[in-house]
Amino acid sequence: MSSSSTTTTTTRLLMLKASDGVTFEVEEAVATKLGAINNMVEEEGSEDLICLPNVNGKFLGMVLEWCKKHANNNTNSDKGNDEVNKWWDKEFVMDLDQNTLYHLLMAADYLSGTELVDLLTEKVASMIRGKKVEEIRETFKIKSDFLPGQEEEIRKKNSWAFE
Amino acid sequence: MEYLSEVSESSSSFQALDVHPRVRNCDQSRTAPPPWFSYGAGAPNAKRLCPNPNSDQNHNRKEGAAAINRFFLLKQVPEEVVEEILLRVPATLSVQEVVEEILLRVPADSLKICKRVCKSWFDMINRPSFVNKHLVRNRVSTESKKMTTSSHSKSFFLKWIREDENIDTPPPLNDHHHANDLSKLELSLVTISEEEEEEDNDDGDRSDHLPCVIERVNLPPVPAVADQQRKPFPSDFRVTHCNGIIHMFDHYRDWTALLLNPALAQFKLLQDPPDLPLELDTFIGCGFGYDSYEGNYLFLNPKSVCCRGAYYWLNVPRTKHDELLLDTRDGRVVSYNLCAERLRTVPLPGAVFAGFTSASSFYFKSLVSV
Repeated sequence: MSSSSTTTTTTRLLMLKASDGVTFEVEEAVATKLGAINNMVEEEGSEDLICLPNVNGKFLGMVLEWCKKHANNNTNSDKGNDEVNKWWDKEFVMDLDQNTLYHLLMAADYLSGTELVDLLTEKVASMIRGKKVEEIRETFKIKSDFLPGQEEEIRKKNSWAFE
Repeated sequence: MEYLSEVSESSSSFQALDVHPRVRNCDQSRTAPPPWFSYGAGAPNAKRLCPNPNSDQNHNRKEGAAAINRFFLLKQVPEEVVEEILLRVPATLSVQEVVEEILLRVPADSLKICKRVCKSWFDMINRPSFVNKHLVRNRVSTESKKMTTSSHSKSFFLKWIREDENIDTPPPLNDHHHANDLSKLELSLVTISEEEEEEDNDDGDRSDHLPCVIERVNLPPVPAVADQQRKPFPSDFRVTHCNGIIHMFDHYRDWTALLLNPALAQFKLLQDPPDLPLELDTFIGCGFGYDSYEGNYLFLNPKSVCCRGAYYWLNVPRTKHDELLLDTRDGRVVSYNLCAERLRTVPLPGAVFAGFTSASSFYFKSLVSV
């Protein structure tokens, strides 16, 4: 990791401290992609250290990586930005394992990163679509808590079968 | 991650006194008043979201308590007070709310299956507030797609009567006996893909078939119901729809009406649609609409409702060109493109009995229970 002195001084830097003490130094324009940080910056102005006791460093890093990418892409050129962002988003969520996906989603939600929450919930939804009940349970390690017969009852209710 | 400078925790000065006030500010950014103040209570959604519930929560708690003590200039603040202050620090949304966000993005036919996954999903999907959110979400996304992109596929809903295949002479046009045979009625959801169409043109292969996907909408065994009730249903009925619910209405006999939700495979027989002034609609039919203020589905007389469904020959509005659908006496439904002046067949799975086909645009599949 490079030291903080290498970054340019033209933009303001914010320090974000994760729950495990890991600290990130990021440009204000990047961090304010997150609604929660944006609010704090607007309200408190000059303060440079923001503690985020509910986000682990690993996931805060990933969230900031996403913010950085989107902040950059938005300032570069106008044309094709959406495509670039979309392509990048696709790459970003492609290989996430479920554990990471979960924690990342929680972190994004906590930080009010609306667009990122959108992206991640969409990803999870895509893991549900078109699957059978057992497959969904298997994917998300959900244990059925229906009483015997209850599930069958719901299934029947959802079919044209009529007595 | 060259842009992120990870600074080691060099001094404890990072442990600012106001750790928690910051957290509070952070969460005030949420629009809704936080109902999750009942921290740790037995409520089902009181489960905290925290990257690592076991370790981080405790760690945060300790850190929080320490910060509170420092804030009060190291006077030992009683445990209960610390607890009380921590209660006031809303952490994040509940797991349930995030799960809801996810399920809102799942289409209705998959949600039908999701209901059976576990009780909490079942309860959530059945909640009227969820159903409404899902409805609004899908309507907005479908309509915005329709308006902004010309390459988006377009669905419509087609009612047609299947023609007997081994018949030598076709029955006379508008033969009501034939048309009344419900077993021959077919409902199809047709989705035209414009992109495929363009590819088609590139190849120079001017296919006779409209490029589309046809899904069969299965009908429930309504005749069994009708027999039971001694009301033959339906004879010649109108089909309209609203928010993904198909409304079949028998305008000749007894005002029998049937609501169908093909996505959830549910139906409901309505025998006495309320408050219909008889003289108004003997031949016009009956409207079926959604009251977005009250959130109710209503029967309305045709003069006061503008229903999206139509019982005319279909004119599918599209961005580039219109398709005009017609059924023909030789057992097909054809699509006539007004712009390209091109006639193509809609490849329905069976011969069509002429004279009773109707179609209307069908925006999405709905979760609403009928």
